[in-house]
Amino acid sequence: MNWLARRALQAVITALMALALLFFLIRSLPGDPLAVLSEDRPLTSEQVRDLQRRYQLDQPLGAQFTAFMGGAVRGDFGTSIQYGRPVRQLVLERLPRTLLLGATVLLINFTLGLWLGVQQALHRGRPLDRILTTLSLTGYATPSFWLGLMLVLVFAVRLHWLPAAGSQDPGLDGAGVLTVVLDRLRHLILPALTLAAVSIASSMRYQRAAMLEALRQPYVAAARARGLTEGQVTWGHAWRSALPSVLTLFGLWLPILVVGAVFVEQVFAWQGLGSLTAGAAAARDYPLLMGTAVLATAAVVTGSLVSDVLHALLDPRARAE
Amino acid sequence: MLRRCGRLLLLMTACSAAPVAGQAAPRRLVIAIGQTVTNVVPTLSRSAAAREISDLVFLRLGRYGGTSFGDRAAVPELAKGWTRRDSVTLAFDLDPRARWHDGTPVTSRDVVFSFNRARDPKQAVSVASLLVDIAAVEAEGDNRVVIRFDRPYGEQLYDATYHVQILPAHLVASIPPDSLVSSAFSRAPVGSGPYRWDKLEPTEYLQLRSVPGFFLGAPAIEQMVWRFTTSQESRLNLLLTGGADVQEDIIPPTANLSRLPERPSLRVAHLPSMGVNYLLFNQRAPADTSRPHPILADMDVRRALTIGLDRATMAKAVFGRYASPASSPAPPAAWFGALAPQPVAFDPTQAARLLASRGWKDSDGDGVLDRNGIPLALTLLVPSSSVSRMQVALVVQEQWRQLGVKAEVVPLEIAQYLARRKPGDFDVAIESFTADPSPWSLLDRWGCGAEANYGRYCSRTADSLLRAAHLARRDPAPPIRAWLRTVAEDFPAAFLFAPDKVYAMPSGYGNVTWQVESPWQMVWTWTLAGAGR
Amino acid sequence: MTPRRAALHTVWRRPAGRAGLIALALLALLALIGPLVLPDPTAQGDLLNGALLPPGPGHLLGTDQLSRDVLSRIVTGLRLSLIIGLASACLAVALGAAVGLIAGSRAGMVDTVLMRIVDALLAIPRLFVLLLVLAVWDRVPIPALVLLLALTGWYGTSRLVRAETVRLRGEDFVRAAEALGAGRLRIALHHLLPNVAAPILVAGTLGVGDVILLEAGLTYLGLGIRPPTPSLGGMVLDSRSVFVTAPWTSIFPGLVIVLTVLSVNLVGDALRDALDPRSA
Repeated sequence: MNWLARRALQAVITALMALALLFFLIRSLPGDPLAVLSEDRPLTSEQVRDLQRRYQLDQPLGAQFTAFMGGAVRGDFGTSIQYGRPVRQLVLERLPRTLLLGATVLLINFTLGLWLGVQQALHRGRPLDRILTTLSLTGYATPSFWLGLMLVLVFAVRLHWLPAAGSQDPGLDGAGVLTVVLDRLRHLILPALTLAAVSIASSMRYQRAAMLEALRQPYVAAARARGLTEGQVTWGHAWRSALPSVLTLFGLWLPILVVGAVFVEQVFAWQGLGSLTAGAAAARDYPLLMGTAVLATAAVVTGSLVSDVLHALLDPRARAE
Repeated sequence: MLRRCGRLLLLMTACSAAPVAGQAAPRRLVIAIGQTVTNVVPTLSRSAAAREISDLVFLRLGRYGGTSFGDRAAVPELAKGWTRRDSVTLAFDLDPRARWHDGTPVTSRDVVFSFNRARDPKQAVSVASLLVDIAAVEAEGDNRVVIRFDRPYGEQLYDATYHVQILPAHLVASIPPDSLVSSAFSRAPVGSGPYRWDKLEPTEYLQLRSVPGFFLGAPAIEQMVWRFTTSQESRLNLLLTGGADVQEDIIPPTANLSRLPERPSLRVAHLPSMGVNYLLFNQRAPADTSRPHPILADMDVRRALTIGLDRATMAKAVFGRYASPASSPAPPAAWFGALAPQPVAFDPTQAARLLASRGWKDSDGDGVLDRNGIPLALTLLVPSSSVSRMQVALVVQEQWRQLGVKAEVVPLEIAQYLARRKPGDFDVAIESFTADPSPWSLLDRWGCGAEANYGRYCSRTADSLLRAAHLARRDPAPPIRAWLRTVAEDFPAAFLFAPDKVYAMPSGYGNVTWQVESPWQMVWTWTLAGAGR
Repeated sequence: MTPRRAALHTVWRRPAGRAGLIALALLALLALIGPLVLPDPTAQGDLLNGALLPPGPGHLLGTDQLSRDVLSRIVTGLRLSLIIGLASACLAVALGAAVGLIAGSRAGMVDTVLMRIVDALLAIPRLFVLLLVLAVWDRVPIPALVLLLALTGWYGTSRLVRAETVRLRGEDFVRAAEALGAGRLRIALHHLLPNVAAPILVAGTLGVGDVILLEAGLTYLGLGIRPPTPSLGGMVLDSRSVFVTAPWTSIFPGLVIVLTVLSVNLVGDALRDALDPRSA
């Protein structure tokens, strides 16, 4: 427990440092966050002063940071300059779509990906292993935005099987639950497939290596000697002992959820956190940027904390380190 | 009806299109747009898309009548008519049938409230400055509103109708202006127009539903849905795969038109837009706006840079046949567009001669003209989000290169583009400006010292001509014509062309009418049966 | 055999590594020679009749909306991608190795502070920082882009090198050198660095592929290399609006990215497998 507390404290400190770094980086970049507000008609200097006061841009940086952290603790990230709405509301609006896409990709990678990794290990060096390695490496080398476009070209534009963009069709108000769910699924397939294809290589590779290591252990041979079936040996013994190191990978995945999908979001007009962040950066929307920054940093820190804890739970030796 | 049609700026492209057999026009119209709309309350909506939607929910005293001058500048909407009492007073009689979507009658109290809010610069930043000539707005009983102006001028009726949409005082008056944006009212606004607010799925779509008892006539199309999709090709793919029925900007590229047959029920509708594309020349030094621009302050150089561009080919390459030439700030679609002079011809030889006569020669043989050691090199600002302007920028760069002018294309996110344009930190900027249908509104862009005059062009002659037009009580055409000619001959910008608005939409609707300054405004009069029935 | 030749040799011995090396050599050759024989990638031809021509004899891979030669643009873009990838991966690895060596060879405060900073930096997604900085920077010169990609890409290497260094410090030969009175710098450069060279080489090679992909993605978002400089990601961006009617404008640049990154990664993998036989 002592170990866990120390590890958690360390995570919090890391996150705070990261946020401080980001806060000052964002403010040190040139640009006028109020510029977007004067698109139609220029603002008078009085209006500019009012706005600066409203967004606390007239305060010294240190005071702004304290105010930001104070608000962040209470879950209040201020008001977006660009949208004129609370940052929390904007982020919460996008979060479900980001989580849906991210969780689906995660699911694919941790079921299909791990299964393929195990198959590779079992067929080490044989054609199946080679083919799967080549395929996964090709996926890993493919730009997600380009793959997305190509999939749209084939499955949406040419074959009309799946929708080309968006995450739901408007006008399903009166429709049944099943229709709505099916509609969401249809919209989800192409973006999820794209992201999975370019990222599945890492879980396959991890699983393959961990499995090879496990298969070399004496207890696997012992299990075989006891007359257990190949399936029992593979999944009951080897795979289970390979699990801790594979689960470490889980932590690395959380951050990808936040901004990692930005390219795919762009291609599929999927309104997630990635495109929100990109838009906020372009508009110099400080409060919104810091809001997404908190989420991104929290995801990374939580991710590595979770993977450490999982590792420690499943493999007590890790705690001693 | 006929009388009204005659005064609208109509484009009856639909009348010639026969309905496709077996294809009923949809009762539900899904329009794919590039922006995201979160708010349609008139004083709060900033984007063009939000304003177009807002026009279906909130009415004005009168709709734009096809000119901004005289007492025919509006067509009855909330007011069933108006009378002029004297040269500075107009009295509006409200239509007694007008109802808010919650059933309450629209009264003079709503009108007075809305005008007072619109005239307060603290509450309505963009509108208040346009209403400075209005002296007072008063109610006379429940159904009459009297508007008094500071002085006699030609655009009084236009000012009293075009800029102010009427809000329900019984719902809005109690909300402090600052919290209106986060109020329950702005999440579910109540208006008096042909369509009422139905639902907003944030970042996905906004849906309006028709008001069956709308006092001017029940709309035939029951639902209007705007689907937000940022990238243009996604919008087109949605359109072709049935995820949307209408796309408002299918070109550029013109190659998209060849894809429309993939969905046979689609047809093209185009209407002239109120936008003009031009290359704005900065007449002041970007680093120090108190000094003239080292290159562009010279009128002959600006002229050479303009006539050295093959604008017709450029328009054709980017927009096909869907663009008209422009020679001045006046959009060809505006009522005063016809008063603009002819565009100057493309003449690269003359351009080269002009530059040479001003001392620009290629003395070091690097292909770029120079004078006193300074190369003829310019930065060309362009908003990267605009497909058409990016293409135009690259074509301009290439054509200027052939003249010996080096242009560095600087694509910018829109916020940065605006941030650089405002203080005059650029040489040339590719602008696309959509004007109000009043020539007076152009003063803000081209008048000496005006707020949005980013190129710092200044001609006292031009300003006084425009002022004369604004105050004209009879025929404003002669001073407007003179103003447009003066501006065109000063080359404050290389005026390129006015692209049309090109829609892909389902065929089969009857009585299709577009309102140029707000295309969907008359959609409630469309019928589901095709033309001829 | 020099270490470099040894590394090449081990890669060559593996079929995947050999394929990667050959493909990479061909791509590099194309990037070197192509611009000499192909038309100017920024020159616009006849705008009305020469735009969006399909692949054919005049233009092997067709033309784009502004009637520019797609093949020329791909080759020029490829060259830029390779240069950016190599330069920024090298820089990143050098920076990471330096920080890792310093932290690893000097225990105590220096090590703790450096590693805490690296932790904090690792807690900010790379893409987030890049989006942020590039979005506000209107004219990113290519060297600055390289630097930016390097500055956001060294954290992992520094951790790796530090871990290796800490392990090596316990080894006999380092203790012996210390006992003989060798200075810290001398130990770091002469004893530690050569022994961590292998993981650095692997990280660097795989870093090249990552950078090429990242650069293409950022350019696709309109944030990386700005037009009219031809770049592979930029070509896909420019042709988005015609990717259905003129697919050649986006298919080929994408394929070239895949091929380039794949061959770099094959080489990197072969290197890693050679150095860590357990995973092969």
